Amino acid sequence: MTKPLMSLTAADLMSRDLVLIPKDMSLQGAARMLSRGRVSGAPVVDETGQCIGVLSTTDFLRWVEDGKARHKANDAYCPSWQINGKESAVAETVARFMTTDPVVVIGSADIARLSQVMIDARIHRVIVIDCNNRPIGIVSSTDVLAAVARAGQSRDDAVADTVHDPVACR
Amino acid sequence: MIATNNRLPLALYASTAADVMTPSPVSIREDASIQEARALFTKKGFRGAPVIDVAGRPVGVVTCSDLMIHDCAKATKWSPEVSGVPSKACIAEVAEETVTVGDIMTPAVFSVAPGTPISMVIRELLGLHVHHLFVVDEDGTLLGAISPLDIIRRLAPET
Repeated sequence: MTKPLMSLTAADLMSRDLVLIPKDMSLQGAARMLSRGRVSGAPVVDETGQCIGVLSTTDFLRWVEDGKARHKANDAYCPSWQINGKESAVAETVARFMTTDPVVVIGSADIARLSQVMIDARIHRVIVIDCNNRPIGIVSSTDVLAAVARAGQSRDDAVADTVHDPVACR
Repeated sequence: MIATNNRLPLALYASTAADVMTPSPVSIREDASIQEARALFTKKGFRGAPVIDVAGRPVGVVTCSDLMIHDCAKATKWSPEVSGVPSKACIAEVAEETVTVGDIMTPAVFSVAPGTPISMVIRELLGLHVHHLFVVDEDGTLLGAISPLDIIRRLAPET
């Protein structure tokens, strides 16, 4: 990485390895995508590929809690297999349980802006979108910290060079 | 390469693990039920928590992902007729089981002492590929947790 720290952008730091969840997918299918991708959350996209939300593993747990509560409420009237039969498949899609208004930045957002967004929203991952609102990457707080650490390291090296190696001062 | 643009270089306003940690993180006991863990995560919006033993020492970490994977795996086992897709009723029944947090946690704790220099904390966070480091005292009691965000929060332009 040769760019100075403060001019690094979301596009420089982001991982392009994206898990994209279609909004009409079932929550069970989405859960499988999250666990296969080993991620705790992923952008949700509509038919045109635009980012309309984010689904996290916490949203999945909420859905289980929600189901448990309704299951309990209906317990007196019918057994669980009947409740299951009544559940509409459409109602259990990702779109219903995702977090809308996802926190996004564009690729040219710099590292200071990225850090501020993460601190303000108290989130560890920010979705990077293109000008058509399509997700193109994810930047994590670890990515930001790694960039800061690298810059600190090269700065220490530069200082060490000027002290110990006069050639570096030319 | 010096870390500046036409702006001031960044400095980290902290020197030890104790300076950056979030003190007294909400933890969960290893004998707590899966239901308790799920309720903790959904109500507080946490994505993970340290797991402690009866003496208050951290023995592992449990995350939302661990719970989700557990829910899916169990439900799949319970309803093989639906080709591996867990039904909601099955998941509801799974919720009544007796598995504990200790059974599904990652039984590893990466911890540092409160006086650990910040540069070492950063190296550990990045080198171990973990989202959290725990801060423990000499007795092994949990004092705090550190995430990359806790460090980023204390970065500011040098003045």
